[in-house]
Amino acid sequence: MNKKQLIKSLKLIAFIVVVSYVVDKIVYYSITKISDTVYSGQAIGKLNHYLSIKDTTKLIVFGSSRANHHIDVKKLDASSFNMGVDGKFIAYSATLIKLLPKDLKQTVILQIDPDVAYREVYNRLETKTLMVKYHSNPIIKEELDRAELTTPFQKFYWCIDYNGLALGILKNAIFPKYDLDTYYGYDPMEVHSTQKEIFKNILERNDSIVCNTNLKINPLFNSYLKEVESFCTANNKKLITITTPIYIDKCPEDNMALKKTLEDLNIEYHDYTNFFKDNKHLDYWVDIAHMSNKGAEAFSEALSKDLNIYDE
Amino acid sequence: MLFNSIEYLIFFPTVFILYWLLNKDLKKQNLLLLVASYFFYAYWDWTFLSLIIYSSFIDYYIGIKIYETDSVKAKKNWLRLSLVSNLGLLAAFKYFNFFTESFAEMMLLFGWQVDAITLNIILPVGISFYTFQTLSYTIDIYRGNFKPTKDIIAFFTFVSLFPQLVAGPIERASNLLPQIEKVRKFKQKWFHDGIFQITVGLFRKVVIADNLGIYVDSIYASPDVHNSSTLLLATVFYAYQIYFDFAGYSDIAIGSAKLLGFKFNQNFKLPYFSNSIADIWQRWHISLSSWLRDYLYYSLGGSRGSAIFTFRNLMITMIIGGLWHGNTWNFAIWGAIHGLLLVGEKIIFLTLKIKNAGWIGYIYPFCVVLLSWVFFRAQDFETAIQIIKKLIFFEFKIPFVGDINAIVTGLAMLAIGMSFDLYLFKTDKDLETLGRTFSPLKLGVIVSAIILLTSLFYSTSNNFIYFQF
Repeated sequence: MNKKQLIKSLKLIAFIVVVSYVVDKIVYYSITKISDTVYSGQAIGKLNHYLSIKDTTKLIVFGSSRANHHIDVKKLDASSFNMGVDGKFIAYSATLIKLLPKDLKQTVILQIDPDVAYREVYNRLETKTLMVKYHSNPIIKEELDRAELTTPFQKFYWCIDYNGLALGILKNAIFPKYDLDTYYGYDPMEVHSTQKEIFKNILERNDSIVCNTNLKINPLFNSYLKEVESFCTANNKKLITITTPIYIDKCPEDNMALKKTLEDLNIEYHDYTNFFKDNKHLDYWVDIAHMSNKGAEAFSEALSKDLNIYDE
Repeated sequence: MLFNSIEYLIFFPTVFILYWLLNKDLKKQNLLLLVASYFFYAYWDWTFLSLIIYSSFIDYYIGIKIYETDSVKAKKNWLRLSLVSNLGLLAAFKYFNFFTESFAEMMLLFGWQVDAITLNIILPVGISFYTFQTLSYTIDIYRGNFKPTKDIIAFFTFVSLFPQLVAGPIERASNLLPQIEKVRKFKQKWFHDGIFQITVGLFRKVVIADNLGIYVDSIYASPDVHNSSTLLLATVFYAYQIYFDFAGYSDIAIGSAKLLGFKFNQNFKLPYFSNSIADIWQRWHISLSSWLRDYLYYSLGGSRGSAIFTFRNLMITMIIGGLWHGNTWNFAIWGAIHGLLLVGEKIIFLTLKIKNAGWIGYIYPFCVVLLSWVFFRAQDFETAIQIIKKLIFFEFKIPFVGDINAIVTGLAMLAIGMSFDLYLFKTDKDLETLGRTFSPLKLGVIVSAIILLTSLFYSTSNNFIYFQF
């Protein structure tokens, strides 16, 4: 390689670096502008919605799809929001809880599952979708850095914040799906024929399950739990943890262990895993871990009576 | 070390700079390549480095011996030793459990209960690739097509050159070794080609293949619970996943080599635009298919005999080609299906006295290849049969969508990938030489656009599929 070739090659590399950097920033700010107007969709829309209501809402439910599709929060409190999101666990919920206003009296219902709490490996990967706020929200940035989910490239290419989400954002910006004024985060699930067939096949297969015998709470899960508890205690929030029903629980040991852990931490816990133990009507279920709209309505009614928060 | 890792992003530019700083001293440059290649491999598992050194040493020595010996018998014996050494390695590390389990199953057919002795053997990455590469060297010398090198560093570098070490392309000594032994010159147009091909390869792998893989993995994890439409969709996705995964890998390998001044042979030539089964095999994993043709099919007699003899040779070649990919019967069946398809197609073409099937030729190869991919992807034979049954006795129902975001992203990226391939096909251009056709300004903008798309849509997924072979 002679000097002329070296200069030519370096120029090309430098040009690529500069152009890609500039294009990245233009696209990043354009997507951010669009993204901030989006209120449809679970990953971005719901997060934006949450950020807009979190300072004024009395009761908020956090958790996974088993919170999102199972708890009709309006049955619990008129001023409420269900911030359950598919595939999100305690790290995601804890990060969002930490965004709540200090000193405002609020009820936080955190849906948790024993099988997640006692997983040997829990990598917090689900918090990756919060990346869309990485460069705009310092609390989220801190949590994501702590979870080591960012890549070194992200410091340079900010568009990585929107990795895998850009098409969804555009779609939801062009075709918004719901009314911001009436939506309150609860997404009941209708069972369609394909899903029904799959669930029936799974039940017929009757897979054997190996229960986790090492009932040592995942350290990460435990630390998030403690953080949520101390945040709520310090900031005038009432924390209630619950486990929503599943179709059949073949491993009750982890439920008992979780109950004990939460008792030790002095956290209120309600375990509804076996709520439908004597009612195996398939119309109540979409799959083993998810209730249909019918099941969710029945459960929410009962939850409302049980927690009795409405009048507080 | 994976091509799509941060480590490679640090490793490659470091090697690149040091390499061109040494370009006045060929020996030092080759030594650097050898050390870098061993480091590249050892980064995955240093213990298996000894196998590469062993294989290199054996064939370096045997190559010289075959050339120096006048006796045909002695030449043959040296070649046998090379075959036994290399194939022995493969047999021990890749096929030991397959042989013992198959033997036990066969005995069971006769009513004899034999316990299969299986060993917990880890498959060394790239073993199938580098053993075939070194074998071609000794076979070529035996056939009188190539003279052995006495430069041990050059030979060891030929076997282990990092861009092609773990998943090919399987480079012939006749192409690569002379390039290693000669002073390489930096060529600006190769630099453009390399930069462009690496970027496209990365996009093909981490954006297209890995996004499609999300749906494929979720469906093939429990195919018994899914309907025909879902399985068809997952299988179509897999056909494109494996293509873009391996073609992407080859692009990065070929592009990286070009930046170092090496010209590798093309490994993929738009295989899904083939107009016959035979055409597919001239476009898919070309370095392997041509290896099998030159060193196995021709050794068996090729087509120098009756039609039955030719068909037999084709079947043997394809079954062994299938087994090269993996040590289960699924791969053998996959190879056999391709063998039968090639034979069937040959018979039809001969009977009808045609060279190709016209426009139908652009449709049926993909359809039949699609069915064969089921054996490639399914966990085991029973699962593959279960899926094939559902695909043959097709019952249309709404397919399971799962993660809508992933499926939409996968489809959108697939559309981009296929549009680009269609452009290459229509314009009869090769990706390998496309970079040089752009001005630096245009190349910079195109590469930046690909980087942007990659940032927005990459998916973090498993290793390159072909690593397991």
